Order: sequence, then structure tokens, then C-alpha cells
Amino acid sequence: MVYSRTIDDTALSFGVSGRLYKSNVLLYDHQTESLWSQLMARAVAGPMAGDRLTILPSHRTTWRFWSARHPQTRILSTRTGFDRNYTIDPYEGYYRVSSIWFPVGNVRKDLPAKERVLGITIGNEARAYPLSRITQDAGVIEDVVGGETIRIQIDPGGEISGVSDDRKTLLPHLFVYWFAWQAFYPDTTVYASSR
Amino acid sequence: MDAIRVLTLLLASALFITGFQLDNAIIPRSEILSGGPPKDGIPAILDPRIVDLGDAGFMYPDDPVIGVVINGQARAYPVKILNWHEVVNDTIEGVPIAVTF
Repeated sequence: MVYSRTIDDTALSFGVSGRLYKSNVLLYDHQTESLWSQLMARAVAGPMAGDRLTILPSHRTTWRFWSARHPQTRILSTRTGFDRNYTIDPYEGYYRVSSIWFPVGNVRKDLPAKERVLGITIGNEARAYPLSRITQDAGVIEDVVGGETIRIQIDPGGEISGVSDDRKTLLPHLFVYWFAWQAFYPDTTVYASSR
Repeated sequence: MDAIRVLTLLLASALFITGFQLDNAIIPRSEILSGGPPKDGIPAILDPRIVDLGDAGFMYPDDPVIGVVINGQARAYPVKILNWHEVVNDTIEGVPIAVTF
């Protein structure tokens, strides 16, 4: 997810705290050392506890699709200043959600373990949207999660360009393997209806 | 790696993960866990090098990216880089953003 990192006219910068909440990485800001939940888009401890980050619209897609649609795009270079081999996936052989990795265990059979899903949690309800099912056609999927009406915008090319509530506020969401999602949210429901 | 080096690394990790103020947490403190690499064990990118399309020879067509458009400027963040850094602190057209994965 992408956030504006300006709060009260101050630009924060973020690092990786090494702490987890609900198996999701907590970031920290260098300015106040507050802890921030990526999923909640909110500071959860420290001087800024309770403050919220603004989520900005972002797209997860392939380089082919993005560079064709945005010929003037610029891109983050692999020359990062860090000695890393970016041709290797550091999590090869593991299922992973935001810096959590764990070996394969028992998986609910609703979906194939490595089916990719869009995961949304609102209130006490978690729901998984299998990407293979929802990205077939462009349009808007309207659904109710945790009592709230949500809208998932699918662009041509199967790109998911946003998840919002009925006040058009962007909602946090994750793209993860089914295996990981059902491990974190054992009671998750799975979106089934076809449009 | 011998046992002494492993022990030293573990001790160093334990020291690094202390130090955050948790007494005012708005989530249960008991659910804030230490896990995986220590603080900054996964290094965030603070000074991203941004290049034009013509200099993106390191990309393959099927490589996943996270893309944003801010004030008309499109920018892509390769997932294969985010995998190693978790968060990129960037600024587009004067707008400071954090890209996470």
C-alpha cells in the first residue's frame, strides 16, 4: 500500500521496526519512533499513537502493463545503495505476508494454497477475494464486509485500482496467498458470487 | 556459522528490538510481538534512485510492480526490490510518500 507520509505539515520517514502486530509488520517513523500498523494505516504506539496515514491510490500490476499504460513512467532502480541480489526472492520456499514467512502447514481446502487473494478485514469479518475469480472482467464488485458496503474497482487488464467504502474512503487491503490469509484469519469467508 | 557467532547475533538482535514506547499503545501490548529480523534488520530505502524507462533494463515484462500516479507523474516500484526493503520513502512532485509491500 502507498501512503502520504505528511502529518501536520511534517514529512515522516519510515523504517522497519522488527515488531509485528497480527502477523503484520509494524513500521516506525524516524522522527518520533512511534510504531505504525501497515494494515491499519495508523500509529499504534508511541508519541503519535492514534494518528492516521492517508492511503493513496496505487496499482499492483506487471511491468508490461504499467509501462505500456504510462510510457513516461519513471521507476525505482535496483541501484539502491544496498548490496542485495534483486534477482532472488528472499522468501523463496515460504509463504509470505509483509515480512512474515513460515513453512507450509495445513491449509483450508476452500482454495488452492497458492491461489492469490485480495484480503479485506472490517470489524470482525475477514474476507478473501480470489484474484482469478474477480479479475476476469473490468467493472465494480460491490459487497458487504463487516456490515459495511465496499466497492472493488477492476480496471481493464485485470488490475485492481482501488477498494473503497460507500463514502469513497480508500480501505486497507492486502494481496496475499490463500495459505497465508487463512492462517492469519482462520474464520475468513471467501467471496463466491459471480457477476 | 559457529555457535559463538550465532549467539552474538541473537544477543545483538535482542538489544536492537528494545526501545519503542509501548505504554500508550492503542492495541493490546501483549499482541505486539518481536519476530523476524530486528529493527532495521530489513533496511528501508530512504534515498531512492529513480530512473527513466530507458534505464529500466533490470525489469522483465512479467515483473510485478506497484504503480502510483501523483500530480500526473507515474512511478513504478518493483516488487522484487520491495521484497528486500519493505518500505520506500519517496517524494513525487513534492508529495512525500511511503510505498510498502
